[in-house]
Parts: sequence; C-alpha cells; structure tokens
Amino acid sequence: MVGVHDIGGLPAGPMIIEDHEMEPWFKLLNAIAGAMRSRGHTTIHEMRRCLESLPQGVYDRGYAERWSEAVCDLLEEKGLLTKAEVLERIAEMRAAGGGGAS
Amino acid sequence: MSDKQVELNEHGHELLAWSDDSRHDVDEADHYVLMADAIRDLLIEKGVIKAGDVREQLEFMDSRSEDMGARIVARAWANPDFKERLLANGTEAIKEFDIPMLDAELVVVENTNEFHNMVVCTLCSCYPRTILGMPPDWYKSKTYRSRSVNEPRAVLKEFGTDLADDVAVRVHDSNADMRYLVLPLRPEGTDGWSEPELAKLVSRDSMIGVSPATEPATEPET
Repeated sequence: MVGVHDIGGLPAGPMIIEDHEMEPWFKLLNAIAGAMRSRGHTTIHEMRRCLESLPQGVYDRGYAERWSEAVCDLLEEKGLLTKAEVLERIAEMRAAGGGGAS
Repeated sequence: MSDKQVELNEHGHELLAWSDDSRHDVDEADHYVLMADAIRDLLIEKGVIKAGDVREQLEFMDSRSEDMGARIVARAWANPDFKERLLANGTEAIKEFDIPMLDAELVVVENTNEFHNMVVCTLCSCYPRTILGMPPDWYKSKTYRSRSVNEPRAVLKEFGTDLADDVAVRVHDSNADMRYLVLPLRPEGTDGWSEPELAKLVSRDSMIGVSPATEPATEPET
C-alpha cells in the first residue's frame, strides 16, 4: 500500500526554492517532540508512523501543521494527554485572549 | 485549504499543486500556534516533561547550523586520513567534533568528476540536523521530495547546477535511521588553504548536493 507520505517519483511543478526562519510556535513544537524523545516517552519511528497515518486532508495542511497533528495523536496514543484536552485548552486560551508560542 | 488543482506539464502528465509548498492563512496558523502552547503546558502540568527540557531542546536547536558541516567538509579536504575515516564511518568520524547523531547513522558521500551526489527525503524531511541545523523549506517541499528521485538533473538545473552529461547523478533517499552529507568537490586554487579558510567555501546547499562549493574569489594572502 502506498501511503500519503510516499510521493517519491510523482510528477510535480517547478521547484520553489525558498526558505524562512522557523516560526517560533513550530520551533516550540519541535522542542516538545525532542523533549518527549529525550525523556524516552516516544521514538522517532512512532512519530513517523503517526505522520504517515494522517488522513490526506490533514497531511496536506502543511508541514508544520501535520507535525502538530501527529505529535497530538502520538501523545494521545501514549495516554499522556487527549486531543480533547488540547482543544479545550486552546479554547480557554482564546477566551483569555492569549497570544501564543510564549 | 485548497484541494489539489490539476495542471498538465508539457508531456501531458498531471501535475499536483502541492498545498504545503505555500504559506498558510492566518486563522489556521493561529490554531496551531495555540496548540503548541497547549501541548507544552499540559505536558508540564502533568509532569511528563519539565520546562527545562523544552528550554534545553530550544538551546540545542539554536546551537546547530551548517557551520558544523562546513568544518567537517573542510577537514576532509585538508586531511586525507580524516576523509578516509569520514567516508568509512561518518557517525564515528564526527565524534572528534563532538557532534552527536542522536538516533541515526551518518553516511558521507563524496562528489567526484564522475559522480555527483544529491540528498532528499522522499518520505518526509530526514536531514542531518545536528550537523546542518533545520532543513530549508524547499527540502521539505513535496516538489523536491517527489521530483528529485526521477528527474534529479532537471531539479539541479532549477538550482542553477548544470551537470555535464558524463557526470552520473546519485540520489540518496534519507530515512529515520540514515542521514546523508555530501562531500563536495574541493574548488581549484585552494591548495594550502587552512581548514577555517576552506570552511568558508562550503555552503549548506553544497552539502545537500544541489550546488557545488563556492569558488574562491581570489587567492588568500600568504
């Protein structure tokens, strides 16, 4: 079976050769994922499986967005938090007019 | 997000307009900005990780850049023994720079007049981050991931790298266990240069294999 991630060799348009400074929130997400690994809670292979298991629509949201979703899925799978808790916390932050990536 | 838009290339093949190769609208980004904060706060509150863990990781990321890779390449150019060790076992050889590879092995591939090496991760974005820092956006783009393995010369041309027909291209597909670093050809006219002088010629892109090392502008003063 070919998964959503398995795109080597597919036709695509011209290269868009660009690079941006990593956004602070995504850097934070990377740091969280790194901390989870260094504490032995998760492995890179589990993370990869979660990325590769995302539905096409979620996978296509973007690189940083799909990593966020995969981290969330993996943490839920590990019983360390639930997606519902995360969404609830986001709603609380919005209600409090919170900023982000602080 | 937009659905895939269908376009045809000059051969009549369907092209996919990859949605993650462009920037995103603010509403969506805001959701994920808050999500990162929410995940961190929840994990710290639950005692799964400590605030210091996150800070340590951020500091480690900030300490990584392509300068590390440039020092490795410069030493390989200047020191044949090191080069031999580096090509034989990259993971072991870079220990003398005190660079960890974390979970993966490092494989160093040497460009020659016969072979040009180029690195991609078709499945995602595996990259020697402890040596080069975070991968550039284009490396993570679906366009680079998809095209590098079936039309590498065309992709290289779009980077301004026009290979002679008698140079074979070797494309290395990275994975979670195996990270690649290209040892670019040493530019002519650099005989006797010191490692720090040589390192200035080693760009990130030359270590990914999409461009050659920088040609020296002038001879250094002796």
